Amino acid sequence: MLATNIEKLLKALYDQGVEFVIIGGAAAVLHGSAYVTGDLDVCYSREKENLIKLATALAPFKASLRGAPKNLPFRLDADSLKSGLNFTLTTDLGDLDLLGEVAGLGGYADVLSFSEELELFGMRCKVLTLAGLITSKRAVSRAKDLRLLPELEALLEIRRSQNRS
Amino acid sequence: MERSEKLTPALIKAQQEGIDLTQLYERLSWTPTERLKRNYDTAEAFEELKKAGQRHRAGNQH
Repeated sequence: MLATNIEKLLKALYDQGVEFVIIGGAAAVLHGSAYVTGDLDVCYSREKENLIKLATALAPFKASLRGAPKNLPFRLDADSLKSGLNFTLTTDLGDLDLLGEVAGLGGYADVLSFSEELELFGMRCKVLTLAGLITSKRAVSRAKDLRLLPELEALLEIRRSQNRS
Repeated sequence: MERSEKLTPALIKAQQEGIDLTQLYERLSWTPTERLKRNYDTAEAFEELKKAGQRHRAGNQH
């Protein structure tokens, strides 16, 4: 069910033409990590047109701020996205984190330069590379990020050895 | 390890950190979509277990 919902969430972003890169735990999983995540983290372009597309894509799924008081007014539109940077959202389809910047990498353009395209549910999606993930995890340096590093570095090593052969 | 890859320093370090390289290679044999689906299925199962534990503890308090 959750997998189906995340597929729908990705499809909504993809179909609307939102410029985004999958980052965080989902990116680690996509590269082969055993890390388990229940949400989806993406870095998004903060160009005005993209903010409109992003708000339009998420409109059907009742996005609200995760953990915020229920009476805190929040409406996900281009203006609210413009006035913030990073948003931790809950939606009808699951939790979605929108990041305007990624630690150790920078804004969307920087993250994009550390991305590669992978086929996901029949869509070509941009995903943060292993090298980009390692750089960002090192920069964040929380215990849970540092614990991931040996596995990510092993995956990078395997990828490199496969590319050599 | 039943593979011909040489154990480089990064792989040795991963093993020392408790990472099972055979499982890692198995996951790499899946497509990215399979990896993501299995992750969310696992996350959902964890969440169900967590809720069951909470219900159990709440039941024991009455």
